[in-house]
Amino acid sequence: MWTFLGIAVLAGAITAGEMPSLRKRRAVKELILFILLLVAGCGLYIARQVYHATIPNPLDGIAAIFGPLGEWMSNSLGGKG
Amino acid sequence: MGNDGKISARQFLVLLFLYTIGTTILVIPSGLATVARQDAWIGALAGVLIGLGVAALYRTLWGKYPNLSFAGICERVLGKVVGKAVTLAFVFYAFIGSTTVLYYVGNFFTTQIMPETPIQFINGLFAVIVVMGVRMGAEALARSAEIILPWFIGLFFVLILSLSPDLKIEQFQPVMEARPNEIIGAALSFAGTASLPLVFLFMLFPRVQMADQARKGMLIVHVAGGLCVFLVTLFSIGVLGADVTSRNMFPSYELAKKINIGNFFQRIEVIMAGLWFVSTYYKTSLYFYGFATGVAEMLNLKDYKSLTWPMGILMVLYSLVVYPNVVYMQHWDATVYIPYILVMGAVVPLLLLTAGIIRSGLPDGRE
Repeated sequence: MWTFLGIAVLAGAITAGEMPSLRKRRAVKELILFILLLVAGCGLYIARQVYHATIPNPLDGIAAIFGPLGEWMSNSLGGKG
Repeated sequence: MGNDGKISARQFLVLLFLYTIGTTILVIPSGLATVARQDAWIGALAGVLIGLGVAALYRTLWGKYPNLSFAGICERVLGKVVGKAVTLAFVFYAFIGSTTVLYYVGNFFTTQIMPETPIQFINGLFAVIVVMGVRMGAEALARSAEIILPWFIGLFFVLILSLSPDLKIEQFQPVMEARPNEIIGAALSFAGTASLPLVFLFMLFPRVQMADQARKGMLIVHVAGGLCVFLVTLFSIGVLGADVTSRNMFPSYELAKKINIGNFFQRIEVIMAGLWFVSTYYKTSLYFYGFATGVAEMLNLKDYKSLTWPMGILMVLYSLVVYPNVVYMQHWDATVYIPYILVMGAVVPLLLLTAGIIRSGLPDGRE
C-alpha cells in the first residue's frame, strides 16, 4: 500500500517537474520517451514490489550468451567462482 | 546534447582517477585473493599493466575521433544501422553497469552499516544524488570531483599510513606460488573492473577542453588509480592474510577496522568508508551518464536531462533485480562478467579502431 502511494506521489512530482518545460519546448520525441520510461519504471516497480511479480533478469540473458565462454575461461585461468 | 558544458583537462583526469578506483577498491581484493591467494598483489600489478594497454587503446581511438562520443564513433565507422545496433548494446551495458554498482552500494550498506534499513531505500537515496549529478551535467560532476579529490587522497593516506606497521611479511610467503594462468585470471578480473569500463568515458570525451593535455595525462592517471587499488590489495593480503581476504566480501572495510594506533585512534572504518562512497558515486554517475546520453544520442534527442528521473526509477528497480543473491553475484562476476566486458571494452573498440583506420586509409571513404 505504502509502496503504491509512494510511487504515485513520486511519479506525480516528476511529471509536474518535467512536463511544463517539455511542453514549452515542444519536444515531442522527448515527451513520448519520458512518458514511456516513467510508465515502465513505475509499473515494473509496483509489479515487483507490491505484487511480487518476477521481472526477467537481464544478467540471465547475458549469462546465456557469455556463460559458456566464461566457464571455460575461469576453468583454464584458475578462477574458482 | 550541445548544452552540457565543458570540462577542463584536469577535471577530466580527476574523474578518470576516481572512476578507475570506483568499486574496484571495495570488491576486487577479495576476488584476486580467491584466484591467486597470497600472490593477489602480483595479479593486481599485472592488471595495472593490462590497464595501461587498454587506456592506450582508448587514447588512440579518442585521438582519431576527438569530437565524437562512442555513439558518434560507432555511427561514423560502422554506418547508421550497424552503428545504432552497437550503440544499443553499449547503452544496455551502461545501464547494467549502473544497476550492478548500485546493488553493491546497497549490499555494502545493508550488510555492514545499516542492517535494518530496507535495501530499496538505500539504493533510492543513492540514486537520487546520482540523478541530481547527471542532470546538472558533466561540468558539475567534474567540478565536484575536483573539490572532493583532496579529501579522498587524505583518507587514502590515513588508511595506508596507519596500517603500514601491521604489515606482516609472512603473509606474502611463499611468493610466486600461483601458477601463471591464475595470475592472468586475476589480472583480467582486475582490468575488467578497473580499466575496461573506461569505455564509458567516451561519452565524456567530446566535452573535454584541451584534449591533447588530457590524452597526455590519461595513461599516468589511470596507472595511478590502478596503483591505489594495488596498494589496498597489498595491504589486505599483508594485514588480513589471503584467507580472510578471500572470504570477506568487502576486505577493504575489514582492513579499515584494523586501524588501531595506541588503542586511541581506532574504530574509524565508517569514515574510511567515505573513500568508496566517493569513488562509487562517480562510478555510478558516469555509468548512468553514459546510459542517459547514449539513449539521447541513439534516438537523436536534443537533451537527455528530462529523461533522467524516469531512468533513475528504472535503475533503482533493476538494482533490486539484477543480483537475486550474493552467490549469484559472485558467480556472475567471476565467470560471465569477464568475457562480457572484454567484448564490450576491448574487442569492440579494437574493431572500431581497425575499421576506422581501414576506412580513412581508402581514398574514397564515404565520410
